[in-house]
Amino acid sequence: MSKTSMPGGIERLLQSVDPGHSVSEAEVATSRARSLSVMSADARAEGTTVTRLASRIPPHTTSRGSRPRVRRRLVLASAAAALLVGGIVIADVVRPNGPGATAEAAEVLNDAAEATIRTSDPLVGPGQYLKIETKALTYGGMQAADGSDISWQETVSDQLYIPADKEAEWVWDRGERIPLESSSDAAKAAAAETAKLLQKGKGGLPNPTVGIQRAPGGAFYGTAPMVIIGTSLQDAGSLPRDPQALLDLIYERTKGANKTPERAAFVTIADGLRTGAVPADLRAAMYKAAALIPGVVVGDRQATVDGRTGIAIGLASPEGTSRDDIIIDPATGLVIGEQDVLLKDFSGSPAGTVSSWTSVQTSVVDSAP
Amino acid sequence: MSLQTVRKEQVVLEREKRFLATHAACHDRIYRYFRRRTDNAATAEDLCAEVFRITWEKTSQNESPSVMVVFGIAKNVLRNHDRSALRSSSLLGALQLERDQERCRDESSIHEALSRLRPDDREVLLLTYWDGFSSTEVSDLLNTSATAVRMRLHRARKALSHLLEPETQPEGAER
Repeated sequence: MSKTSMPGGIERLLQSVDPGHSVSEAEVATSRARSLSVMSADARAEGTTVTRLASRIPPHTTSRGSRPRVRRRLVLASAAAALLVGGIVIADVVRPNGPGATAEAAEVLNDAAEATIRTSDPLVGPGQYLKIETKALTYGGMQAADGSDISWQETVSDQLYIPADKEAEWVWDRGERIPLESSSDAAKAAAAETAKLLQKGKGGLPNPTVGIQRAPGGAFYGTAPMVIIGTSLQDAGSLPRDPQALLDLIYERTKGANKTPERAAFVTIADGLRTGAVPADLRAAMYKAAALIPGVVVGDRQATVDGRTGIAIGLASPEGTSRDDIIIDPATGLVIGEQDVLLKDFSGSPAGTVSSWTSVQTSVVDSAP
Repeated sequence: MSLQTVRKEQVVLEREKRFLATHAACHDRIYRYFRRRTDNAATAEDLCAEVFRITWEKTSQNESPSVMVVFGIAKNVLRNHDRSALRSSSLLGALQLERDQERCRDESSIHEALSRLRPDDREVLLLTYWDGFSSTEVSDLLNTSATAVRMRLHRARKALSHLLEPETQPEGAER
């Protein structure tokens, strides 16, 4: 009845002028940190000790925290886990500097795009699910009675089941956090204690971060998952397949969303690529778009994530302290994981340390839990 | 560690977990909600801190406030802010600011059209297209029926397209 002649309609129009899109990550981070501090302020007032969950800042959480709103929806599993541990993001003043995408990285990305087109997507039949398994290495920690901090590394395995009909109910099975074998006994004991507390949950309250969650249309956090800001997974078909046009759109939509436009765009593309839910032709366009981003390099030709090997393509943080990589299987053009690599020594860890990683594996299954 | 200490730690830890889960799920959306409706980052940050202070209080009762509950808090915090600041339209202020930062003409005309909508209609529109709520969620938040929300949304869309294209809108006049 209300026929509008405006192309794209009111929705697109409004989203294009949404002031929320031009909010910088730095100011979101500032607010995030401040609004978390209510916990410690309160605890001080009560004279109790505060546990360290909130104050723990794993080595460089900056990239993990970029545009969490989108990341969280997109990368349901690992982002949520990472946010729980490291909700605080350090906001530094930075200056973009891009020598341009290296030819080597561009070649790997363009090859990946070709491989993506050649390798057909798994067909999800009616009633079936696309199962996306992620395993992430994150940080855990706790305060001992004597006030000292214990921290350790732990892994979290999640499975996300996306129904063939994407409007139907999605199922997200979130795993428990398991400390690495190499952790100290004290850390393992602390981790077990934390897990027990979480499992029981006083008053029979379920732990919101472990177990099965269900959401029609994948709206676990209230809105449908997005491929990039402003375009839901359902509307992925409307995004341009021309790499430059796609990249321009991503730059436009992510304006101010990260420290540099390049980083905002790269993270957006990385998020989209690893959902495992983006159609092949769009994935290919995303690879080619990533090849156009200045500063994108080959991080490691033999990067191993959770036992599988691929080529790491990444972009260094503007401060030069770390690099975010996506790891591509050159044979299939699939993103098999992500990693964060320290480029400078940080709090006891030497440069070159992989400070966190996520592996991604997709398959088609007949049922969901 | 003594049993007493452990117990205390457990209670605090559980509460923190609840709070952190809620904070992780809501903060960025709440912050942007305020940024869209207030003048500047400092105000949004203040209001956000207030929302999570209240949320933190709620978590002491073994509650895990849902996204909608936190947005309900945010709505009240914003209303109190608007009242005390005696500002007739926070949106107008924000829009003016937006306009100051070199924006293309299209954008400012959309913003201007938005500012001319009825406040109730505009809010439904913004909650839907900016904050990303479903009509059921919007109805929860505004304490009205989902049908009323859909009607308002329809009216707001119509009014907006009318404002944006007055000369080519043959159907917009009758209502």
